[in-house]
Amino acid sequence: MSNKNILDSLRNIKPNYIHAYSLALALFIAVAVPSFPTTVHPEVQAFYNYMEAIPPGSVFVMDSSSQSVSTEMSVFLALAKWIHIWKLPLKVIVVSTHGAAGPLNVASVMRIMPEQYKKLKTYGVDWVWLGYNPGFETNIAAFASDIRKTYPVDVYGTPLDQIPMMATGNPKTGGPINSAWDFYALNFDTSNQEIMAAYVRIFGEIYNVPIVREIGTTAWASCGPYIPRYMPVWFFSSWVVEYEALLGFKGLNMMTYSADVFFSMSLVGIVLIQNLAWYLNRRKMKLEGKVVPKWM
Amino acid sequence: MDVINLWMAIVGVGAMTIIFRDNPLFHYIEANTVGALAGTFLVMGTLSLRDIAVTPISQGAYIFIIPIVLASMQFLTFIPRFRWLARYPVAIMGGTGVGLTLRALISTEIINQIVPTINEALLTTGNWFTSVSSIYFLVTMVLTIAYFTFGYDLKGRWKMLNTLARVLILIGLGAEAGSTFAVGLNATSTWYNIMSYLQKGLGIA
Repeated sequence: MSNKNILDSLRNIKPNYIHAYSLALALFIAVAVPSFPTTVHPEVQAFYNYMEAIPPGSVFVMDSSSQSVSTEMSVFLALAKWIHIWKLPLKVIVVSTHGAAGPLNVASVMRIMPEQYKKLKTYGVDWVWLGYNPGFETNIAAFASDIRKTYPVDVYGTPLDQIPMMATGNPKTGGPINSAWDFYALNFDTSNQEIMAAYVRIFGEIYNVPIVREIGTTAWASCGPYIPRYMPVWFFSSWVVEYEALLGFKGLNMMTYSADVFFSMSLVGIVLIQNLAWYLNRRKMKLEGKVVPKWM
Repeated sequence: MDVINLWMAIVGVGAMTIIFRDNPLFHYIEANTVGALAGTFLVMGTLSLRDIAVTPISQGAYIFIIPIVLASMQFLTFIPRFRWLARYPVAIMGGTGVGLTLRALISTEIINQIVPTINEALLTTGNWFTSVSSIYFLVTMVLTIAYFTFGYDLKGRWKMLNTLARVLILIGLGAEAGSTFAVGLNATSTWYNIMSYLQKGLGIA
């Protein structure tokens, strides 16, 4: 086969083949569980160290509020983070403030989290799940000032005062956990700008609760200016693969785009080759005196 | 065999089949997903209303009748004669939101955006890469602000600044688009999810 044919074939490669390739790779990972080398960015290491350094017994808030369309993806985006938090001796409050699919996210995480990590926390003692409330900034403001007014019962309908962690889990007083003044830090996984800004304004500015999170590229534009002041640690969510490596996971490396992941780089290679093929094709048409369409 | 995990795997495979061609399984999965999400929204909304309003009212906190009445008024938008009444709950929610936002607006949206931006631009400690990044950041920031603030055509040698600003803006947007595209390439993760569900469903995980 000539070079021209190879380039033309690459230029016209069908998405089906790329997905078939990714399926084959997924099958390979699932069966062989290999371990790829991973280089950890300083930001990811700092995030990991920060989480490790949180005093035992502190109250950590997780807002799982991704939009419905991204639920499946975001669950796996967040799984490493959830597992790490489950391994740490923290008291975790899980809420959803944006998109009723948030509770589905939590349910999905609990479904896919390996048993050895899931059993590290006992419901009602180490973590509670308060469910979903609409209202954006008003809801977040009410939640910060008085948890019981916004979430009088947990997701199973149990009044908060009957849940041991909420009744006596305050690390400062040994009494009930009442408001954002009792929280150590917050993590949320939505890139919704209203929620993000509300957390920064209310938790960050008024209650001085630091926000720690991984951040998507699309959320970067809105989060960027706040990071130095309100987010002591952060990293791009595309670096979750490195977070997984820090946690000692072997072979997952499924998330997401990284220079260390062979699959990602092979796809980038395909894109580069396709662009090259396009350029050569266009040049050839010009040399042959053909009219090059505007879209080329 | 775990039926739910197996079902999740089937849903995953069904959703991905659209990549190859349109087919009845995809439409079935699509309808299922939309229906399940609509049901979830309805249940979550109803539970929320029960917990934070109906239950307190049944326990004597009658003040919660007010938000229920206000929320119900929004449905009057469907009756032309009383449509004007639907504006009140919207106005109250808007006013409350603005009031809450204003509490910390100045510090978060103005002061604490400017200060870190200046700090970032003047960051000279560290290695040569940090210094170069800071200079790049400073130049991009000044030119971009100038480009949008003084949005008229510059003439003569000053025109170069406008061109440079456009180039820098396009570099930024290109990097953002490229990064988003690269994340979108992540099909392995989706297939891996499907495999995980399948393994658990068949009890071989």
